[in-house]
Order: sequence, then structure tokens, then C-alpha cells
Amino acid sequence: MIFGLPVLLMFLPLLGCFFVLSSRQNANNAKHVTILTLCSGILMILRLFSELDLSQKGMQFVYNFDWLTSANITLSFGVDAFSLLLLAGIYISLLTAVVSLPLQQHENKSLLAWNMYFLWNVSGLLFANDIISFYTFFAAILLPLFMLIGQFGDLKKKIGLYMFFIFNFAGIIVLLCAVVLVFKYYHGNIMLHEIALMNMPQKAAKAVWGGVCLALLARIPIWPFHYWISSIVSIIKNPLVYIITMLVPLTGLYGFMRFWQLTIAESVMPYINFMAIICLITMIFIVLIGIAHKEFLYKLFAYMTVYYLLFLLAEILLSSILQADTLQMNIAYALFTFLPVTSILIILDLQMEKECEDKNCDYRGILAYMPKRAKIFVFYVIMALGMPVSALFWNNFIIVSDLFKFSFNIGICVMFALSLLTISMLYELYVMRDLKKHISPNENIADISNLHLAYLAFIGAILFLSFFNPLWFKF
Amino acid sequence: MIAYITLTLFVIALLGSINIGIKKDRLFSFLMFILLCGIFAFFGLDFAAGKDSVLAFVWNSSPGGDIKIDIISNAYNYNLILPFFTITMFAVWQNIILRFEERRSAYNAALVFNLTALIVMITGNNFVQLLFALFVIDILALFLIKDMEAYRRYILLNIFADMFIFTVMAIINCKVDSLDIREILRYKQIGHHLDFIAISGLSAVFMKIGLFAFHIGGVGLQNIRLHRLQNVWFLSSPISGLIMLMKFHVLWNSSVYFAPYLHSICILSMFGGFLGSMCTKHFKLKIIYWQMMFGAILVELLCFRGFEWSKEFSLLLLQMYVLAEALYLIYYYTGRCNLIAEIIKRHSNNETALNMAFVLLFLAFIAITGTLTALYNRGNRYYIWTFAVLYTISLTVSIRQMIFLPRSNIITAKAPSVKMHWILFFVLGSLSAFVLQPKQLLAPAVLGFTVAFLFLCRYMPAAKQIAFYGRYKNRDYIGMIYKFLFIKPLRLCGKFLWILVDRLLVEKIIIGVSLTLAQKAIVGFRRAHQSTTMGQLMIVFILVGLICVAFSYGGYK
Repeated sequence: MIFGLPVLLMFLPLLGCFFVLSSRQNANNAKHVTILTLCSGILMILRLFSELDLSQKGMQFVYNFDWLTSANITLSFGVDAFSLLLLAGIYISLLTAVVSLPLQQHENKSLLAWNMYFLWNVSGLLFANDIISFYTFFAAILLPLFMLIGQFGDLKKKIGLYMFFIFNFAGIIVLLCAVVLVFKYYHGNIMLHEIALMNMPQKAAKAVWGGVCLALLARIPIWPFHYWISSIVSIIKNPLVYIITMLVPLTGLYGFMRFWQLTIAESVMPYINFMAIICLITMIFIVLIGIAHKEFLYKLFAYMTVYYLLFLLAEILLSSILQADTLQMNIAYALFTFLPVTSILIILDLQMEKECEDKNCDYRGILAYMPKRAKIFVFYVIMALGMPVSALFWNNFIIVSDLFKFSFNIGICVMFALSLLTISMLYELYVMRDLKKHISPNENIADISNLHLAYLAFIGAILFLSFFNPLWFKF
Repeated sequence: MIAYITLTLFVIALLGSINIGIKKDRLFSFLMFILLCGIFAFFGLDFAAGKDSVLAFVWNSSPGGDIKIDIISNAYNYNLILPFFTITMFAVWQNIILRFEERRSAYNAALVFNLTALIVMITGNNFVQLLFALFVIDILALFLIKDMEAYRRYILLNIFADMFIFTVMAIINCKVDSLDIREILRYKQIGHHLDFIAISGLSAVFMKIGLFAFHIGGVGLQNIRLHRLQNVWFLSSPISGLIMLMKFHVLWNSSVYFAPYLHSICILSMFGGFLGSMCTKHFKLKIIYWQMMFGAILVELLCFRGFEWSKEFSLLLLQMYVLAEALYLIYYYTGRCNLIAEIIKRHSNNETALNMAFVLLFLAFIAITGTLTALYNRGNRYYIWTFAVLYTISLTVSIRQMIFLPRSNIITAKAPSVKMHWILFFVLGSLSAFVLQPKQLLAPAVLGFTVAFLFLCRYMPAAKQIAFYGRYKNRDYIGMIYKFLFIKPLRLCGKFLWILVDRLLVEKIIIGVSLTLAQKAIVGFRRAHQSTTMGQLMIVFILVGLICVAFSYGGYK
């Protein structure tokens, strides 16, 4: 039975999507179906974890499907602790976003259906074990993203959306070329971890890896291509769409982790340092811009970008000197906390902005009027900054320490960026709590509801337990 | 055994943090204090028994080694924990008696949590354990300070310090491949970036203790309640800084910059603290500067004793605490006024209590001088003399102002009559009797300083100093330096990158030019498709060009 579970888990969001579309026009029907689907998904993930053998390397519960036997194309899906942890993080993030959706969007079937469709694609991407299925889901993600941002992103200038689409589409085309080249030399579908070991002529290898790297980097807000995402996220006001957009870099990061699972291809080795330098420049660049910006949301964007780049940096630099699976698990533990924490902060912040807009009051200093929200907000900011309240704390320590092992200068640059980021977020938190910054006091500002608070506290408890053991839920 | 004591303290703190009604709060906090007394008695008995033991368990594993929780019980750790345990007990008890807080049990719980974290830090031998305790102490400091405006700089500076320590530990871990702090000696042999590690580590410690150039965080605390200020100084981040110094000095002092940096900052702190305390009329600010001076001499004395904590240091810390408590009582019985000039006029209603507080202050001063005499040696003599002289002058000037200053041209306002807490004086008196070392009291230096103290208290020309206060604008020069050296450039840099690179280069030039080019290309092709001669010629040229390229590079011969 367990071998069918991963496939069922992969298709569960698609099933949920159909159910959402077929749900009756009722205020909460679509939302309830979505929540039910997400909760079922989380339970399935827990069940899979209980059956997972952590000592075993590589994908487990592999399911192969002969698609085109004449062309030697067998699609392969499977899971490992790394992909399951990421999926768990994504499920919790989306569940939190759906639970916290504004009232007027509860009944929006289209929003929730696209959300489930997106989740299906992400699940497929995380479960993909071969290059064709990976490419299929990697490309398919663009459609729900385009629809969600276009329909619900409140974009006033559509040019941002078109640029976003064109940029990502170019990435997909480049990846397609790389996949076709791999197909040509391998004469069939190939498992993801084997690509780096494949023998190809030098020029072809360069073209393949250049294409793969460009396609994956197109998803990560790396300088100077960060613009597509920074221009979008500064406008989006819908928490669900915002969170989904911020999950896009994860797909790029995940791609690097999978393609370079065993080793980095020799043909890209000379360019690794160049990539690392661009990553570092982007980290510092984004942090400094984050300091200059006054909105917490932009600082949060800077925070997310820096962390994604930190994980990317660790992957590209350390996979040659460390055991890849150990490094990946450290990154996965960190991401498992990172994803829900950032999502919750996004939601809380957007809710506050909305409240300010509705009540026509100042945003700065608003937390002084919301004691319950302030407590939970501070807790999650502390968690996000890698304080000892979640697995992020010591995984950060291990990752940074390993970066120092690779290069002292890189370690210093990373620490510089992280320190500035911490200071910038803490200062903004102070500003948001400082009553004096609240120019036009309005005492009718609504605080967070008890139910919502309880939910967020519950998620906080789950993440807090990960501090003691990141896989505490595996029995 | 310290491990069981730590665990019990943690449970008590957890229970104390339960939100119960205000009515039951006093009883609950009192029960908490009784339990603390019981644990303290066990602690004392264990200390006296002198048995060494270790409780170690693997918390988590990583390629860099196991993350262990070590709680090591030995005489050294008992000795180091003792003053903090005593101070925590006293702070809890004082909170019950003087009703500082609305929710006493919650505040007491924060204090006990803080003590638990300190014990974990003192007894631990693992980087992650140390970092964990360090961060927890900083987070708890927020609860102890409980003032948004005040902890802005304090917490930012402490976070910076934590980041420095994090970096130092990460560098050590990456070289020795171990999370065990005892392995730092191996790093010393490897010897990479020793100077960087020493300077970063020391800077972090200075930030935590609040020594000169890093004292803006401490100065920012001048508007919080005085008992919170004292609890933060004697139990929170400054102490964690000291512990870090004691744990890492073996590595840091191998750098040539260690000693000059440490001594120069300590000397500057003594003089800076002296000037600051002399120039300010703000009572709490004076206390902050005195604490800065005290921090400096403590670091210096530790340095000359090889950073080994001993009984004398425990005594010195407790004596300093008694002195701080005496100052607190003066503040409390004069109606909690912040300006030193106001204190004098508020004597009348609580004369007995104030006189007793001054006696307590005097006793604490003698005790401190005695301990300094015991710690005196050839190496540290200049530092001790400098500190003793500056401290005596600064303290006596303030006492002189508070007791003997002419009462003209000062705001006349009587302090409200406050209940005399005999039990408080009794306990503080007992504590000061405990920390007084009779052997040292007859030393010539102690006698000399006692006479000087009494003489200066009576005859110091303090009245002129009040006039000096008027000219002193209490400007935050160090804060301004920070602002102009670090904060403004960083913000400017961020704005420059945002406007010039993000907006101008990427948005306007790269994206704008690409869009314009795309539009032009579309217009061009549209025109080419129209049935004009030029359009058709253009298409023909393009196609011929493509054929030529394909023929040349397409691989055909």
C-alpha cells in the first residue's frame, strides 16, 4: 500500500483542484475543500515519513511508469527525506495562507483551484526522479503562477507580469534545449542524479549544464535578474499569491540540489566561483536595499532572497567537499522551518497593511495596538532570524561553518549579509511596535482572532519542536 | 548536582510563567521564592560536599560532531554560579517585597529562566550549547528590560555581538571539525585568522559588557526602571559576555592584538565612566557609568588572574551588587526621582531608611576596597589604583551632592512617605556582613580609602558641579559616531544601489532598452511584411544572410 501513497500524494492536489472547481457556490465551501486536501496531504506526508528509511540514500518508494517504450522513456517518481521535508514545509505554508485568507476571497474558487494546481505541479517536481518528468513539472508551474499573479496579484502595470512570464518562459526553453541534448546523448530518459556523471562531448556538456544552470537561476532572484520577482512582490497584496510567488525560487534551488545530488558536473566546475561571487554580491546588494526600504515586506523579501542564496551557495560550493546527502538534509531542515515562518510573517504583515488601509491609519507603530499579534509576530521574527527556537538555529551554524571551511572570505561576506539582515529586520520590528511612530492613533484596530492565534501558536510549537529534533514527527 | 538543580530551576520557571490571577500572584511568587531558597540550600550543600560529576547527553548529531548538553558539576562551576544564584534570589525576593511588577511571578520566572540559561552556559562545553544559552539570555533580556524605546540600541548591539560570537565559533568549528570547546587549543595550533577571531570575540564581549565605545546600548537603558537595569547588568548579557571571555581567552590571547585591545578599552572605560558619571545629573545614568567602570576593572582583574574565576571575584560581584542595592534604596526612598539634585530635597520623610541606605553604601564601598586589595599584585596595580581613585571620587561627589549640598535653588518637593522595609535592610545588611572580609579591612589601603571616602563626602566642592551639569548637554557622541560611520553610509549605500542600480540600470536601461528594441523589431517586421519594395528587399537580404550562415557553419561541404 505504501508504494501507492507517494503517487496518491502527488495527485492529491489535482484531485483537490477538481473538488474545489466542482464545489457549490457557498461562502466557505471551496476553502473547506482546500483545507481538507491540505490536511490530508500533511497526514500522508507523516505516514510516508514513518515508513522512510533515513539510512538509505537516494529516492525511496520509487514508482516507474513506461510512457514511450519505443523512445526508451520511462517516467520515474519517488521520495526521500529531503523532498518530503520540503513538501511538508510547502503544505504548512499554503495551509496557513488558506486559513488566513481574507473573507471576501474565501469563496473565490478560481484562486483556490489554481493554488491546488500549483501545489500539484510542485509536488510533481519534488517527486520527479527523471529529467523529463522534472522538466514537465518545472515548466508546468508557470501556468498557475501566471494565472494567479495576473488574476489576483492586483498588478496595476501588466508589464511586470509579462516580463515575469517572458523571463521564466525563456528559462523553460533553455532547459528544454538542455533536456533534448541530454536525450540525444543518453538515447533515452535519464535519472536526475545520473546526469552529472554522464559522458558527453565537452561542448555538449557545456551547453547542457549552461542551459540547466541558466534555467534554474532564472527562478532564483539572483542579480541582475532579481528584478522580475522584486517588481512583482512589491505589488502583490494577496497573501496566498505572495507566498506562492515566493515559493518559485525554491524550485530553482531544488533543481540544483537534484541535478548535483552526487557530484557537480566537471564542465561547470570552472564557473562555480563566478556563480558564488554573483550570489554573494546579490546577497549584500539585496540586504543593503532592504535597509534602505522602509516596508517590512521588502525586508522580508530581502530576507527570503538572502536565505535562498545562502542555501544555493552552500549547495554549489560545499557539495564538492561534503557528503551531499548530509548537506542536503541540513538545508532541508532549515527550509522546513524557513518556509512556514516566512509565510506566516508575510500573512501577518499583509493583514496589518490591510487593516491600516481599511481603518485609514498608519502602518508604523501599529503593533502597539495589537498585543496578541505583536507577541506572535515577535516570536516568528525571532524564529526567522535563526534564534534558538527552531531547527534554523543550528542548521545555520553548520551551513555557515561549512562555508567558512570552503573559504574564509565567503564566510565573512555571508555573515556580514546575515548580520545586516538581522539588524534591519529587528529595527523594523521595533519601529512597528513603537507607539511614537504611530502618527494617527486608532484604537479600533482589530487584533488577531483567538482561533487564528491558536493556529499560529500550534504551527510555532511544531517548528519549536524541530529545534530539539528536526524529524521529531517521524516515529 | 548542578544538573538536577538546573532542571528544577527550569521547572520552577515554567510554573512561574503560567498566567494566574493578580490576586494569587503574590502568593505564587512567594512560593516560588521559598522553592528557590530550598534549591539554594541544596546548591550550598552540594558545593560544600565538593563532589565532581558530569551529566552529558547527546542532543543531536551532525557531521561536525555530536551536539551534547553537558552539565558539569565541579567546585569551579559552583563558585562561578554562586554569585548569580544569590543575586537572582535577592532580585526575586526584592520583587516580592517592593512590588516592582504587576505580574511578579512572570518577572520572577524570567529571572529564573535567565539563571538556568546562565548555568547552562557556565557548565557547557559545546559551541551550540553556548550559543543557545547566549541567545536565550539576550531574548530574556527583552523581558527584563520591557521597554521598547530603551532596548532598541541595547538589543541591536547585543545581536551584533551574538553575530560576532557566532562567526568566531563557526570559524573554529570549520577548522577543528568539532563542536567541543576544549578543542579550541587545537585551533590555536592551526592558527588561521587568529587576530580576526580575537578582535571579533573581544569586541563582542565588550559590546555585551557595555564597555567604552560599545556602551551606547547600556546608556539607552537610562529610562527603564532601576531594578530592571540592575538585574540586566548583574544577571544578563554583561555576565554572558564575561563567561564567553573566560571560555575563549585561551584562544583569543594568542593574538598580539588581544592584550593592547583589552587594556586600552578597559582604561578608556574607566576614564569614560568617570567622566560620564561626573558630568551627568541623571541618577540612573550615573549608575550605568559606574557599572561600566566596574565592568572594566572586573575584566582587567580577570585578565591578570589568567581569566580564572575565584572566590574573590564572587565576593567582588556580590559587594558590587550590595552597593547597587544601596543606591537603589536611596532612589526608592527619595520618591524615585531621576535627577540627582532633586534627591537631596526628598530626605525628610524617609530619613531613617536613607541613612541606613547610606551606611549600607559605605559598607559596600569598604568591602569592595578590601577585595581589590586582596586581588592587588604588581601586574594590575596601576589599573586597581586608577579604578579605586576614580571610583571613589565619582561616588563621593554624588553622595556629597545627595547629602550635603546646599538646598537653595533646588526644586523643593518632599518624597512621599514610603513604608520602611526592615526585612530588606536586614537581609542586605547580612549580605554585606557576609561579603565584608575582616582580614582585609585593616589593610593600609583600605583604611586610607575609607578615610578619603569620608573626607570627600564631607568636603568635596560638589556645589560647583551642579553648575557644570547645566553646561553639559548630555549629547550622545558615541551614538553620533556610530550613526555617521556605520548607519548613514549603509543606508546611503542601500539607497544608491536601489535607485541607481535597481531603478536606473535594470528597470530603465536593461528592461527599457530591451522593450524598445522588441517594439522596434516588431514594427520593422510588420513593415517588411507590407508589399513595399524595400520590405521585400529586406526579407530577401535576411534570408540570403541566413543561407550564408547555414552554409558556412552548418557542417555541410
